[in-house]
Amino acid sequence: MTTTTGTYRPIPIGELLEMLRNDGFQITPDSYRRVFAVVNTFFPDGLPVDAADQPIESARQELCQLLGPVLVRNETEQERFAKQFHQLVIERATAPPQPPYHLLLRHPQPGKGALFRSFYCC
Amino acid sequence: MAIDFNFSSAELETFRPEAQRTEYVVDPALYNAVRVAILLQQPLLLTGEPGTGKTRLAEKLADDLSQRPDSDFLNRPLVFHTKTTSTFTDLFYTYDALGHFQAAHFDEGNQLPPTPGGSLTKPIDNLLSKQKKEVPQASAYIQLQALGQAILLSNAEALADYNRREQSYLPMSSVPTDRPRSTVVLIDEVDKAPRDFANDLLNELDRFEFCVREDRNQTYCRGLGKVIVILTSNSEKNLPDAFLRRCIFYHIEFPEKQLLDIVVGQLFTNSPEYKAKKAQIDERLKEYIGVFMAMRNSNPKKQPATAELISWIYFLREQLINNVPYNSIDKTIRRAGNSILAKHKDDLLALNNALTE
Repeated sequence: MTTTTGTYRPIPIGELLEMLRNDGFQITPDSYRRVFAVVNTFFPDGLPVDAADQPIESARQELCQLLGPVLVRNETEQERFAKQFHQLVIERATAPPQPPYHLLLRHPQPGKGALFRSFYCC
Repeated sequence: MAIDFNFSSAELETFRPEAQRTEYVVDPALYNAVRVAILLQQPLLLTGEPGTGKTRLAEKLADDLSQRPDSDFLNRPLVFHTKTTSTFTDLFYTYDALGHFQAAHFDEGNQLPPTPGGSLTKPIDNLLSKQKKEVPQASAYIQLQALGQAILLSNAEALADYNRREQSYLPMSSVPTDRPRSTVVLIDEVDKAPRDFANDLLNELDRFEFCVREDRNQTYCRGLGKVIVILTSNSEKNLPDAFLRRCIFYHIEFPEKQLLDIVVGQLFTNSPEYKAKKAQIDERLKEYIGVFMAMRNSNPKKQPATAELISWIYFLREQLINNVPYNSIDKTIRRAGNSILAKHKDDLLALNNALTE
């Protein structure tokens, strides 16, 4: 889930790594460790956003360039990573915040009252 | 007719590769890859076309790091040139077993190897007579190599011990051992080595530790100094996955035109002519780079890279400064320039044919 706090937006690391894994990247527990180490060092507050709540382009680019070398293993993956990364970050920036459906025991469809109903059903 | 090579010293000076060197311009993406490698203390594996500056990055990094205030970095990288026969121990040290054997059995007492007509049993006699003599220490035939030197230099205690033993190994060529240092290690063209080379390195690169078997299993491990490892590969061979997993990977693309302008422009920034005719030279430079890009994009058998571009522009610098359009340059000079760009005879032929059309 992506919400904004102040002038920063949380980085969707879990989604990114899952997306990459589905795309054939070799994502290991060590990948998570390395990615968290990079993010905690260089972007501890998240991805900075501008007045329009959009990630600042230079920061987005820098984060992509920092995470790419950790996760890719060849030239083709390097290209694919950049595309996947930007696609995800831009999508998250334009999409409205979503409730954490994946944390619920049941998975209701988005709709009026669906979220609360699922809590009562559990 | 016999021709003697008789160059003036000024000409020879121009031929020196250093004279053509430009300040290395680091692409932001490459800069960020280096930051990550330093943060995670993992080797940085660089791939890319030959001539895109993989090797020079190590020089630039060592130089820049050594210039920081209170830096303990050596101002040049410790380089290991990988060979097709390299084994992982070569990266740490080499042991001259043959030299040691010869010294132990043949050198002492000036015994000569058998000569034609001489006694064939003499070497055997020598061997027998040496049995009671002292055998030279193996350490005198050991020489630390790039990564071994870096690990030794990073560890104050090991370095003190090394100096106390009066540098018992063969001398490390021009590496100062007066105090502990952090270093940049360049392992060049790692893909040249057999596949086992990379596999054998896995543990050593994780722990930065090695053992000199021939020196009574003397073990060295990294101390407080930093060791930044840069590996380059021309991707001639695939590296094992387990090895890649331990590396920070970056593929250096051929630079975009904007970066090329900066890289090549540096050839002239210090010249007085450039200061006087900056706009004019910049404009002409763009035309020349355009010619280069057209050649690069014409699908040659071997595309010229940044290194070729720099050499080519440097070769044409006089015409550039004098604002000569590329097509007005004397054909002989253009033909000579083509030989810098073309790396295959068909490419050279195509370029030279284009001149005559």
